[in-house]
Amino acid sequence: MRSLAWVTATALLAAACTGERPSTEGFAQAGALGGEVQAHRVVADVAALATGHRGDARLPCAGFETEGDYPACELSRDAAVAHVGAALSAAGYAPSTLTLDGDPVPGPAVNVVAERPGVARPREVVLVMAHHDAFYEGADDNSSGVAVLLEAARVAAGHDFDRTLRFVSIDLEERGSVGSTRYVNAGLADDVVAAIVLESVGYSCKESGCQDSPPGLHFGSVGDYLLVAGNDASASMTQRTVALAQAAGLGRTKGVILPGDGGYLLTSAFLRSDNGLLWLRGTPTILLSDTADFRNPNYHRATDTPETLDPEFLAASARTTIAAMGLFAGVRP
Amino acid sequence: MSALGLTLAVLLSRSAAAPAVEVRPVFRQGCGYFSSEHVTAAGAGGGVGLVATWRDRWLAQADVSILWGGGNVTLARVAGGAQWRRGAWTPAAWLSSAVLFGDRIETLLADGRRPPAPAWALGVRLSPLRFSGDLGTISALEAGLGRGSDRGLWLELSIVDVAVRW
Repeated sequence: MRSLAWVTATALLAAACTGERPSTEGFAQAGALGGEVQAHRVVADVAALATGHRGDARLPCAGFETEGDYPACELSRDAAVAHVGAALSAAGYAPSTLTLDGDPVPGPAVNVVAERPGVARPREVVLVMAHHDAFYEGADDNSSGVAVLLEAARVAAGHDFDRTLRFVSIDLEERGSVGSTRYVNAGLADDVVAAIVLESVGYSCKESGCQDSPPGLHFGSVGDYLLVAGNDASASMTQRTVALAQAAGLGRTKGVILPGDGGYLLTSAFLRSDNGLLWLRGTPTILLSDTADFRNPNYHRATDTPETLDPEFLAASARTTIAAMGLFAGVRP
Repeated sequence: MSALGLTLAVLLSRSAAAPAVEVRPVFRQGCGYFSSEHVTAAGAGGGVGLVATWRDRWLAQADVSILWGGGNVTLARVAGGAQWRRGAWTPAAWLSSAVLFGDRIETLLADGRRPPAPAWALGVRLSPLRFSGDLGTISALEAGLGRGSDRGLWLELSIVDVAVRW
């Protein structure tokens, strides 16, 4: 009886201290937008991007050491840049190539940018970003992210939004988030009020023990979810994305909120992608990922091919991404 | 004074009988790690508190620390225990509670809610290298283990605790 009372008291205390449910305002329209994903288009884009990387010229690698998970001389991007530009044009956009130079990594970062202007608050920008440079075929890392970005652009083309949508296919993430760093440092993200960064979103695993975690954290033992990671500035975005995915049945997610800007010793694993500088600058940004090398054994290997991806998981990632995009940009009925 | 110097001092000077109840300030350095399915709060740092000794046997301690590593974690501890022997070497065992406020890494509940705050834990702590003397008490490498909210695991390791007598 005492133990029952203790358990009851603990449960009541926990319930009382648990945070509030996120607002569901806008979930219906955003969820419907996510439902417009056509999975075959996403899969086809991954295949086309991977094929492009396989036959593409490798970027200069002098000065970069090849070690462990970093095959420095297997990086390519030119075919991906061409594919992204063509796909955005076909979707009705007028994409531009934005080449940014800078230190300390030599060479230009060749980015592709397209916008859909908002109808109510056009000066407020919702950024959707994925990096198109990849090692080997790079099916998961990061052709999957680019394919979802392209699908988001296609779906968005048929709708109006309160805020401006900006799709940025970014370069040289694999050289240390060089493209996004130059993009942010150039002031090109100063008008961004919310950002979604896509980093490897197509791989799932369902055997117990197949999912690993950064030191000290718990990602679970099964990798069947899309990680939604935010920091203090994007805590609400993170909560609402997770709640939206559940409420609209878009796919399994796991939401993680890091303290402060996320730039601490224990949270450094989350700063490895293009969200890093956006977080450090205080721009509300969520990272969507299958957790990359914490799940995918093909990470940065020649075996990162389209056949290893989970098409249904990839489609679920696209649905969640596009619904979140619609939520934060204010998709109009 | 270095930790080694204070250790030698307390070891070499123990003369007057201790009062029945004695309350002393305590200064500590160490690290802590709380991890459950939904919360991770951890870091290394230091803090201050009070320790009371009754009849040179029973102990009570309350302290507050700041830990860095995953943000700024405020750790509040309350513990009761006993020292096993009198003299210079006074190893002790504690029943300890810990509450962690402030920054932490959160894994959201399935519906998007944030996990309950603050995180707490109950456990035991051992002080095998604890020495007492006229200047006070110094304890090195105290280790603690416990379980807490959300079925969390609590681990702590004090580098050094110094309770000063005046």
